[in-house]
Amino acid sequence: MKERPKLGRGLEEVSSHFLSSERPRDTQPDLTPMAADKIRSIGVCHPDSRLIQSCLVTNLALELAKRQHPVMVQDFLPPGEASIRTLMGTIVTQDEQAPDQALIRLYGLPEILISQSRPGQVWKVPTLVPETLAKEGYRKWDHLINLDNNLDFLCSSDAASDYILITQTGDNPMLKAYAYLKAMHARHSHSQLYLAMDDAPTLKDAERLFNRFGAFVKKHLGISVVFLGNLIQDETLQRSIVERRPLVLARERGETGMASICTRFLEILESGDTRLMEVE
Amino acid sequence: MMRFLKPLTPSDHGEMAKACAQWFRDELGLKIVEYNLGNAFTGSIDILASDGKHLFLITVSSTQIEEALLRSLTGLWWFSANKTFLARVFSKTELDLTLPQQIMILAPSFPPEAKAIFTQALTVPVRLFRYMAFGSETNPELFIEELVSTHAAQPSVTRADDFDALRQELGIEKSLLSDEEIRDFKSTMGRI
Repeated sequence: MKERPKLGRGLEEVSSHFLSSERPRDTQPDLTPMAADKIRSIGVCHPDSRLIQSCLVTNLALELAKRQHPVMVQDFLPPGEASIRTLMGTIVTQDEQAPDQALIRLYGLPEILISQSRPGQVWKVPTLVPETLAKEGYRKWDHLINLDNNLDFLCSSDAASDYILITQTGDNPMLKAYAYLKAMHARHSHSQLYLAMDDAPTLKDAERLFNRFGAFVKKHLGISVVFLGNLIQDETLQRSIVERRPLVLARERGETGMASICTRFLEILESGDTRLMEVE
Repeated sequence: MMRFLKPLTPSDHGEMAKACAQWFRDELGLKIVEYNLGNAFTGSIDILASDGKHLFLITVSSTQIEEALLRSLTGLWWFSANKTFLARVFSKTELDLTLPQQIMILAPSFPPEAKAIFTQALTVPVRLFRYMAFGSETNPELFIEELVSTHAAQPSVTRADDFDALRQELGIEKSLLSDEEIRDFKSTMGRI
């Protein structure tokens, strides 16, 4: 009798997001020199909400991994704040040897390495990468930086190649957003700047506001900021935070805009063309 | 974020108020004067606190913001109407009733325009805090963060042309924004 294909092929093949069961690698990675042009650094900052900032970093890290980008997340928010490890929930594997490091291994995706910074530490462009990742032949890998959301930190750190700024839509938060963009631009004139609105009533309102804001930035700084979208803080987003289930892994993503902001950012990044989303 | 060792049930209002009070004490350095003043019929205050310069009438809400706002306002009413009574109960060192009052509201979420609405509608400064309870019953965690203060946006605190004060208030001194840039920003983006 002809053998029928077995239905149960193991959960790992069924779910693309199932935790990998492969043998854990050395938790304390060896480091090898890395050429600077192989590193892309993405700094994320929300001057008025560390929680929403961490939430975006969490989702972006997973979205990067889903697109096969190896990611190292560096968390510069003070320990105990809304940390990436907290928001990642149960998918995080804590490194027993190094309390400041954790890993996320999802089936079929490259590892996400999460590193918690020490108090007072600022971000510097890394020159060393874990040997395990280098051995696996990753051409490029991304540093996702959960910035300490104050200007002192920003001005003391190295420039990132891309900055995502999230801003609320009131008068003072928008002025603050301009000040942060100016400081980011001053760090490195070639850094690409992106802006997402936090809780504008509708996407249309956010776009209208951004058009005026972007024109102002262009006039004063001579640069184009790329608009990523509007974040709606609805029940779906709250539930994902409280239950520590990142939205990009959820079936029901709601209308929060979180997933679409991540997707839009990566589409622009991968196409290498930021002109599409610039202010006209 | 704070970690609490004992079980914390978000639905237990008194317990949540005490956990939030711990955050106010540890993070903002406030002195907690009393919990649960007043009554449900004429007005109540979940937490009465002070920093030595202001009195804070704090309302912790686990439900709708409308309910929290109404409780805050009736709490303020009760406080104003019962100052003589409070002066008999508390000594001046415990509670200085001459200090200006501020309302603080803690809620899981606020509507998008809450800050602007409160600024326009209320004469008493209001500070809004978003809280979220994480974790399990045996290992609860509480996250609280302040939404941009409505009273800070009022012209009485920062004069329209006092750009140094505005830069300091927003923590953007290091960005080196010129007065001209701020003026232009306000005229371009005004009434946003």
